[in-house]
Amino acid sequence: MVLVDLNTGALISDPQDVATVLEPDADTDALAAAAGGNAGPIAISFPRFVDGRGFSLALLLRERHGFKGEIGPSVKSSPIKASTCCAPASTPP
Amino acid sequence: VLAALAEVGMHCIQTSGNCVRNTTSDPFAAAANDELEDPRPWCEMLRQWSMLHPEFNWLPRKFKIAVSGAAEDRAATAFHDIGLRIVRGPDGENGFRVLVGGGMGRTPYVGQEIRPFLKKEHLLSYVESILRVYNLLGRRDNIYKARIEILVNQLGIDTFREAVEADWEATHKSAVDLPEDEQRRILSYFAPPDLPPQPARDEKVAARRETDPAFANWYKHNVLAHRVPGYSSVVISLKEPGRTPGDASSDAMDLVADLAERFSQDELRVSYTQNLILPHVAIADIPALYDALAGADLATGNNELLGDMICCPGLDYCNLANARSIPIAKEIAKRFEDPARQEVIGQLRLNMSGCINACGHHHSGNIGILGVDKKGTELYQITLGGNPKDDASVGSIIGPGFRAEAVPDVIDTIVNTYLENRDEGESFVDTWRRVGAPPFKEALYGAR
Repeated sequence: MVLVDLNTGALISDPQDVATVLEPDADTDALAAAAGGNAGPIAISFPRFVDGRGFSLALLLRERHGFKGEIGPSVKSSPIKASTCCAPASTPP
Repeated sequence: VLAALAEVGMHCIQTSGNCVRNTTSDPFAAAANDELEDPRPWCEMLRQWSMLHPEFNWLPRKFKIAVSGAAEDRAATAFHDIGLRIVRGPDGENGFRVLVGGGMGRTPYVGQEIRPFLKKEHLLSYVESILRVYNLLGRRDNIYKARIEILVNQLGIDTFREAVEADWEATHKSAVDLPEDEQRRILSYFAPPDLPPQPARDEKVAARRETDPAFANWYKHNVLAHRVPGYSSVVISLKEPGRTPGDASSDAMDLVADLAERFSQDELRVSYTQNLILPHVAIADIPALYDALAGADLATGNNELLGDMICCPGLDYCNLANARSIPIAKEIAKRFEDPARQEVIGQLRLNMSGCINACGHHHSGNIGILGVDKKGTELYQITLGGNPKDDASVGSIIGPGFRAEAVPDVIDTIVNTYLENRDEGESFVDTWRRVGAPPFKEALYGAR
């Protein structure tokens, strides 16, 4: 699993670095576990192009769980349109 | 077409897709005399917030929001995914009563109250929390069960509210709520037009109402009270008997645009009841406006009466439809053509859809007509008791459907039953709620 910058197509993390892959039905505990205690990138799985749950998960990781690291879509799924949710951590979500 | 629209600042972004659609409001906003506050700036804030929103462009299903700022709900807020009513709060400041989970279509629901009072400054963050809970929990396995109304009713409003409040508590301190100066900036775009007060009574208008019955009838129904003395809002009915309900020719549109420029501060609105509205007309100008409209067959005095039907395009135009709507509407209009009869009946909302998707709002019609296809035959199912306004309700199916040619008789029978049963001044919905289905069933099916 790797994260890519959807604007440039460049890899933004090494496959080894991804700490967690979140499924779109991740609950609060899963989000807290993913966000807690590590700064490693979190990949969010988008099972279908039209399934936008991952955008809300990304927001919750930032706003509710204070996660400051990289968040991106899992590249296994369809390339979702570029969105601030998938931008590097330096960009506000 | 899109390029031409873009030249006048219009576009069609988010008019389809599973995103937040355009926010709707009261067609008499900033004009009606029962208004607490102009809802349009809040619609604009919601529009700007929802446009290309990164989190909510791939919702389970489409999402519609309506805002009303008046005592009377003219925006059908209870039939929207989120309905917002501006109300006076405990501390005397205005805020929002928030409804959620209303809708029509194949599973109609009246919206339920999720919050009796929300401070105005929290509008965006609270709406965002509702959408977040919906985005995460709404069903994605079945397109017909994906609207928020299904989620709200499956979880129950209390469980849904808990989830929204928990999310809001955890996230609302984020930057989404508009700062006050930005609120003020948007409010400034909606400054009321300069309407110098006029005498409330105009002698020439009063005299014409005495001597010209057609003018008097039109005035009674289509000229509505305005918040500024000496002004009114004028409804241009597009429901002249014999014409397709809600249709206007390009010539008519040109004329109405000119009239809006001359008489209504260059402002023209479209109502969900498929009429046009000139919101700010000086009462002294009304005779000249009426004459111009009458010259183009646009002065039909049936606003909110039986002839003012909401009607979808139906099988004549729509490839989703199962049955015709427009020809049936025309037949009904012909049956009730006599203005004197409509006057006796009084306000009555008749809505018709040619399929289950309910574009003609049949669920919220006092009398609703739904066209269905039964083994190749068009049948029309009748619902009674729907109400789009305050104390909203979904109409109940009265019994087996009727063939197209029987529909005018059926409506006649329903109307006569109402007239026989109503108390003095009682509305259709109130009579229906008091006497229930039996007298209507008896009148419609008794002979069978």
